[in-house]
Amino acid sequence: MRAGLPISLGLHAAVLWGGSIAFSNAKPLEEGQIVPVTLVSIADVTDIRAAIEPPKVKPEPAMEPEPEEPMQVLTAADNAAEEADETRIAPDEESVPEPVVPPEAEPDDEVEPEPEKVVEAKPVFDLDRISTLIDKRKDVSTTANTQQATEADEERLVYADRAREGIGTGTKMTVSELNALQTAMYRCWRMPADAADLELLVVRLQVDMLPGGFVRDVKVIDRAAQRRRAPGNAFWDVAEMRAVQAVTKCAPYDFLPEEKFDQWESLILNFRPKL
Amino acid sequence: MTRIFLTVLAASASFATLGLATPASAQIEVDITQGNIDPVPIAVPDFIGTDPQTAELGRQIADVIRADLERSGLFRALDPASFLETQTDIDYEPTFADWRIIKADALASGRIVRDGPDKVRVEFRLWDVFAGKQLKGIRFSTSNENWRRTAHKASDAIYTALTGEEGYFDSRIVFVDQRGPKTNRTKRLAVMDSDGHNPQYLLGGSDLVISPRFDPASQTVTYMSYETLPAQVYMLDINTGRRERLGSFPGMTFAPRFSPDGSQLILTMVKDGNSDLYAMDLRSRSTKRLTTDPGIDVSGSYSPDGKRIVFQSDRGGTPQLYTMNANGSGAKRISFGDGRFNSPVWSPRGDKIAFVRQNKGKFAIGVMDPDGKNMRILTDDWSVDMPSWSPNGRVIIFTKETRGTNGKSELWSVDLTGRNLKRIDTPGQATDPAWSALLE
Amino acid sequence: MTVIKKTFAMSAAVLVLAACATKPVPEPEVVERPAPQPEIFVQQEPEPAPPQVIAPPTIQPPTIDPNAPIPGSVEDFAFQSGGEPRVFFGYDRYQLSNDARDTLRRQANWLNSYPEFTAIVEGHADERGTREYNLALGARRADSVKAFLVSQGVSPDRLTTVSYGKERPIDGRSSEAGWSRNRNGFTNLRAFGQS
Repeated sequence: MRAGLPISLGLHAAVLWGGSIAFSNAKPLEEGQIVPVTLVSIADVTDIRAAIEPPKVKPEPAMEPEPEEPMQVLTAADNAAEEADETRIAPDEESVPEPVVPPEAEPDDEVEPEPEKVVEAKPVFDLDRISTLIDKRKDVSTTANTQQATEADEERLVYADRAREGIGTGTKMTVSELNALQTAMYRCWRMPADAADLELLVVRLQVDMLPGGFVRDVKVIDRAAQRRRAPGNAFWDVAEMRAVQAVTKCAPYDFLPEEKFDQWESLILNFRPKL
Repeated sequence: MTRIFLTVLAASASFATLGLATPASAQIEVDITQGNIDPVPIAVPDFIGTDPQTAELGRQIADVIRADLERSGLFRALDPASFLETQTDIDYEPTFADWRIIKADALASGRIVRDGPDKVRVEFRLWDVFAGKQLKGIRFSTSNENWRRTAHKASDAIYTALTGEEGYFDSRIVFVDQRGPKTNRTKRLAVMDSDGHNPQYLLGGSDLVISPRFDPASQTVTYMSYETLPAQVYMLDINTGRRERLGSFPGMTFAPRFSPDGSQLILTMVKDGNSDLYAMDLRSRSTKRLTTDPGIDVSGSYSPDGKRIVFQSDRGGTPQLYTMNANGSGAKRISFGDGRFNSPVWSPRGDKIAFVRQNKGKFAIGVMDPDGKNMRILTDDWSVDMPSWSPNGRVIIFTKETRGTNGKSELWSVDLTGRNLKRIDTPGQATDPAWSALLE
Repeated sequence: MTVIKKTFAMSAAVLVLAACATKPVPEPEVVERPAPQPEIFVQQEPEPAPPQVIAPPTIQPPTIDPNAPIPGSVEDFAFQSGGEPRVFFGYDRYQLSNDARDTLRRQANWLNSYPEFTAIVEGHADERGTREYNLALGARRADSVKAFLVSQGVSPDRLTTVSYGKERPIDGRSSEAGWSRNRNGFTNLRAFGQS
């Protein structure tokens, strides 16, 4: 699909290199010499698998090594995530200093309304609005156009933040059940504690579960919009990597009540580091 | 503490993006705000060799990498005895499950290939164990003797891939080796690798030397010496050994430090007993006076863009930190906490200023923003001094002295979190450490 | 290089007066430095009234003592300075105490009698300060000493100053007793032509 990016010694984006090629073994090495050190070329680092669709009845990874197709061992987030966002990452990475969308267009306060101080007591569930969002997002997902993507994502952020006001409404999951999830995450999530502007590095994950609390799929969503919170921050890749790792490491989530599977089968987890 | 936000998103608003056949029902959204800050567990097996010699080299290199990563405080190098898989070829994917069982987040495996009588090729791959993918693959060609630097370079690559910032392992530290009791000390300029290995003297020990500092190219060291009186500032090329006194001023000159582009030196000069800051242009050797007040102005340090200078002054009654423009204008005080503030150094990243605070009989190493906000003390002790930043602005190395007639000085480092305090082993006593840039 | 050790006998008979100048001036420990007085070093030496009545007469008599060093020798200079040509300072201070002035007056007197000598005035600090700040503080102390000697008629050309900060302590103890000795100005005498 995509060839590896040419990379210089100082480039921080190691995490997200590479495209998806079916075989994993033949990854060329980055060339480096000590005296004098010259990095000649860059690896086309193969990613593990194409992952056109998530393996349906995949059991917990650690239990099944799957020797003949090692790249599928993981329930892996990574591929799906990359697949979805691939086209968006590249521009993000390369045009680091420049936000893709003219920043004046949307003042920040609109992007990130503090949930605490929303004036309207009730979240607005406006169907028209939602369908607009859906339409836009459809466009976005099929195009590489980052600008549209961020725009749509951003609206969605606004929406999500408003919706957040509706805490507890209409859900049958109890607070303690969700607390258990957070406790588990505390154990598995290594915050990128040394990152600059840590609190801006919010990573949104879509997590799909299997019965028994196994992770079927995890992927970064709304990446472009999130990254606009701290454009050019060198720690985004690591923040995303750590969040995805946390979800994978904590599985199985067998403490989640079986009878409410329909509710946690698909979750959105927002990793919002607070020191 | 942790907050929970439950969000019921109507219908398939989010699924549209995912393109997945997720059952359309209400979707729960949870905020995770608290994670741990434990070191990242990493497995670094001994690098594979093709013959006994390269196998031995592979063990040594892996040792150095493990030690580097551990010392940073951000990693925990897992005990090789716990490893379940023994890889025989790094070009095949590891059995990730085996590494997940021993709770490794990452795996760095490498090999050494002989490339000639005196040349080897060091290759390694870094794997994200949980995502099951390669994060990095690098090959170095090097001579046998350079294996330590190769190992440090590998450590830097791993550090960068897993933390998002540049490493600092392939760098050097210039310092003053110190011998003898307090009342009869000899001091000698020396240099070593960032992990304390390969210490080498740079000068004989006949003259008192103080405060060596690297230039941005890590080739030249400026320092103060009592070789002639009054003591003056010198420059020494550490490769050629060429030494040069920077002017012969009637008053003592000291506390030299290079500007970030290496073209200027900021130093303190004494005139009629009063210390003021001067900038010296290294090409023309002309000096420009930057401060003129009757207080002690000392310990100047440039911001990484070269536009500002932080220094210490007692113009207000006690030693405090001030910043000013590089031409000496616009001085303003930035330290306002309790105690006396000394020895400021601007971080190479630009975001922090390290300093020494003296308060209630103790000395402390701390950091603050360039505007003086967010002051934090990282470590304190009976006596600490001479902070210097790692090239990536994440670690501070400094001198610690113990009290009493047999007091000794040692080098220690602490990271920006203050949690990772480590002693750096030196052949004898050591003081006045200064970090180089990352080596080319 | 002639650092005078206090090796010669402290003959009680002779040193009645001198000894009081030798003592590391047990000055009260000042915790915060008083606001700096900009013009400090040179001019403010118009002798505050109480120049102890004893001071001036002390200068001549000791030469008669049999244990006294040969007049005009380096040892004699130390002897005349009260055992060792050092004056002591309070914590973070560089102003001269009355005792220090007495000592320096005797040093000036001696230097005025033996013009073939020059001196390097060294400023020293205790370990309760950072290295670079202490270099600056030592420079102030050295200058205070030099300025006073000059005010007593010694030609400034004969005096150079240098600061050792906290690098050359004479007392290794980490206590006020040690620190008070390490905060000093030392008049390091050089015979003409000596470097």
